[in-house]
Amino acid sequence: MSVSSPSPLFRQALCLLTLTACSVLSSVATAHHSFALFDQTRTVTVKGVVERFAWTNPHITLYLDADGPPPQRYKIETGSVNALQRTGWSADSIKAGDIAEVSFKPLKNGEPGGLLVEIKIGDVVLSGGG
Amino acid sequence: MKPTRTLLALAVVLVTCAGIGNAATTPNKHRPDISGTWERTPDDWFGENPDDPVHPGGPMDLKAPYAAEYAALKKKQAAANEAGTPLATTSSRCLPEGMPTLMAALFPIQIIHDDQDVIVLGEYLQQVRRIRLNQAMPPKEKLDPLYQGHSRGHWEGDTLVVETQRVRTDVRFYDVPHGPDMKITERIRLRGPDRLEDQVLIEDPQVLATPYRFTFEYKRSSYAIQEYVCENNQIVIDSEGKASLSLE
Repeated sequence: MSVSSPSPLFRQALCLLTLTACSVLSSVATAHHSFALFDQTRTVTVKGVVERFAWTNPHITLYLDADGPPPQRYKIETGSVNALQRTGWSADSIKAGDIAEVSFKPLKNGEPGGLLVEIKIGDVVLSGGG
Repeated sequence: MKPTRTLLALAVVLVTCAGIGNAATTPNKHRPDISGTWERTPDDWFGENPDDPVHPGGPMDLKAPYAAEYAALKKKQAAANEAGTPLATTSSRCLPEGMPTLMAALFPIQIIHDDQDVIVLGEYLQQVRRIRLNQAMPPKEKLDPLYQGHSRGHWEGDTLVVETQRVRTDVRFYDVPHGPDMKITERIRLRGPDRLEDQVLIEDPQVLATPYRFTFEYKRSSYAIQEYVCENNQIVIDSEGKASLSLE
């Protein structure tokens, strides 16, 4: 049984760690892979342009081109379509070309990617889950 | 047609339609209606650490060599997690959870039933479990292994009693393996209009020193289960079975 974040207690812990708004994270559950890929002790924030938004399972994924320095493409993963639909996300919540500020838990291996904590696009803020 | 005959015909049609409606919604008035969408309760059933979920019936009483192998696996998992390369699981490969993990309902489950079958639909990976009612379990040698195994059930009063055998031996329950003769017995019943419980007993002469017992509790949900296709698996698994995230 490999699971990510179905537990409210875990979500509360994640909120405390990130100090970001997690109020919409109700009933978020992603099975599939371990959280151990990500460094839960750190939060990285980058600004850039959404290159691609994949509304897919087992995880929704967005690719962000950050200006840098140095310029970098980040791959940010979050929960499943099914879990995040229940918190208000939809297939057109994020679009290629959106200017966004993204905070995430970085990959432990140092590669440019991570687990989404929050994405801000203009006045819209979406919290990740799972 | 005279007015009285018209009214009589209308009454017959209405009564007939009402009868059909009842048959469609309550196929057996003596049987509890466990149909609907169900989610696990209480909300903290999973525990605090997603990489070390709480076992529903406490630690399992494993025989040798499985106890030592399980301890070694946990040690290996902890080291891999620390390194950020967790060990891949069947879930990492988008394979079905199988029984009895399906009934743990990490994602919601839906139950549909009639006089012949009870069907459990799991949202996660669109799993389907079929429980045939009032049929004898065929001999094991005639049953091919399945992720959800082969289930036969019958009603004992308000309780659906289900036996499941021949779950594929590559299916894991909380990382614990099982033998080809594992038998799962479930007693499923409503505890109230919006509460359901599944008392589970796992017997496995190869792996378990004593039977493993636990109860899954569920609350009724108004959620409509959605499609779940694992079409974009980004996990890369190396030759040592360690997982990482593709950057493509």
